[in-house]
Amino acid sequence: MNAITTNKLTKVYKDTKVVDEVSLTIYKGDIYGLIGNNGAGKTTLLRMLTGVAKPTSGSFTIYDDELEMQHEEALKRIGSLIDFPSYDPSMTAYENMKFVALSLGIDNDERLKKLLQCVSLDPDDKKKTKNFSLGMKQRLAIAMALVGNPKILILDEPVNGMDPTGIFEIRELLMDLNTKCGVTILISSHLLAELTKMATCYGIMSNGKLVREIRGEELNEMSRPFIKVVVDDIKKAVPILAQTFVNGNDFQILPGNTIHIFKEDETISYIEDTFNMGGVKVTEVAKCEGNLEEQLISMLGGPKSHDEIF
Amino acid sequence: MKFSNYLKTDFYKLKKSNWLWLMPIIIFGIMLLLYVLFLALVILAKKGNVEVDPTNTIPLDGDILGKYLMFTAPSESNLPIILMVASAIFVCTEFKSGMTKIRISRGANRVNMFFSKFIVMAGVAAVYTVGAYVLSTLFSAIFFGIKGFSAQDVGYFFRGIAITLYVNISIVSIYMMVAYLIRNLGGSIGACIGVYILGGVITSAGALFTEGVAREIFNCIPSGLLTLAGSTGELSSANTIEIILVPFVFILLCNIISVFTFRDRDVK
Repeated sequence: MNAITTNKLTKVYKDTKVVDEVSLTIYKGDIYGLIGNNGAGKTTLLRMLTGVAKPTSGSFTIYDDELEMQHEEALKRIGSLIDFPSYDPSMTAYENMKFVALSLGIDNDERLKKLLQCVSLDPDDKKKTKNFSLGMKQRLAIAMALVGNPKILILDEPVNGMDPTGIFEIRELLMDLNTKCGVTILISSHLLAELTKMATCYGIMSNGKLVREIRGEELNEMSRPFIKVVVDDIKKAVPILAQTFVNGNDFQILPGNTIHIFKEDETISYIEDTFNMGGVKVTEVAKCEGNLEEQLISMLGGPKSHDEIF
Repeated sequence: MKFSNYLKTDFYKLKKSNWLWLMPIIIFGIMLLLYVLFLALVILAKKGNVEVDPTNTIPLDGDILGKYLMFTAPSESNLPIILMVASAIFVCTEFKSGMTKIRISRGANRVNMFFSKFIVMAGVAAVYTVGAYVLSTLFSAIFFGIKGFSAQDVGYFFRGIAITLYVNISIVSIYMMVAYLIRNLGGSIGACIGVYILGGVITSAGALFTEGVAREIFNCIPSGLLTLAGSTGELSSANTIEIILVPFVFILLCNIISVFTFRDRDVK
């Protein structure tokens, strides 16, 4: 069953298409990592999904609810943290939780206290939230998103400003919610290493478009350890590769006459000999560890060079 | 979601707001100052140190001043300005803190959210208005004594409360509309002050350059109608129509504008 489906969802501010015909599918039970550089349109997409911004065109459904009335009902099943932690600065953490609970028609003080304890906040603390640290505000915002037992969590940079322990705790909490309570999570984060520890599916956004959706298993497959080979003539190298590695998934040809060979059991000398015998000169060869984060960065267009600065 | 949930949420926020308790203190201070000043003027007038202008509409006679102030002090206590600030804080702080965003993202209906807020602020206006009249009665009794208060005056007094309350609710709808349009606390208060001053200028211009029906039309600003609340005696037919229609039109128009603005604009 689909938890969230978008159909050519578009948002235009003045003349700029901030989100450009995004069609994505999030399945029930997924932890969907939404990644993209700054200004890619991630937050605007999340804002539309939570109803705070109106799409210019396109549509989306939550649990396949399409009618407007059903949509409002469906939104009650979504807990969210968008843009920045939202809270009333003049209230305590517990009072903020109470405010959200009242707006949802929930009257269960014990549950509110447990949720605060879950994110390491003291429910009896009389400190106003305006005096909280950024990490505490973030924890409170996550607790507020969990009020009302949401079936879907939409989180925009949820661990922003948190210390390593806090990040670990929130990750564990989110994974528990996903595995034990079946909560579907859509999470946008710039901390790719952190995201790769929990996401089961990824959506990559660039310039307002969803450029790729990839399952976690597929990404893991692409991030296997490999042997990096740089040759002088890639055209000559291709038939040799096809002959030597019958399975097309065993190698990947990249720009810059670079080849990634995903055969851990092959030795560097065997690969060098194979190419040399075919008349292809190997200029560089090295064994590399697989890295999900690097793989995602390369999908985002790779890191910017700083050569012109230094 | 039930409408009562919206009301409960807004009343909870109201209960936790510092301004709710601060504003009555300001009203108390302004009214106390007003009474102290009049008491001083009465004492000075008795001693002959103040020459009383015979054309002065305010009687500096302690015996009738108590009754006069009981009727007029609530409209002199700047309730419209207090309601302006209260409306702007109530609406704009929720936008700024992101709580409006949270409520919408959890499926709250924007139209219900607006009307719940309007009802809560109308309630605040009612409590402040009645409180101001209770204070004026107490202060008049303490400072000057209430003499010559007939059964008919009781009727006029309650009519005054009703008019002030009705006009104040229309004033709340104007300032809430400004707050929903601007959504920023400083900007809203600034714009509301502009609206308040503009209202005064229009009324004054009307008084200077027009007469008859035209003057009445210029006087159709809700805050201008507050002067009718302090009057004792029968209201003219024109004034009666004015007092019934004008606040209603303002409430209707402002609420329509607010609802459409809030319903169709993105929340940041």
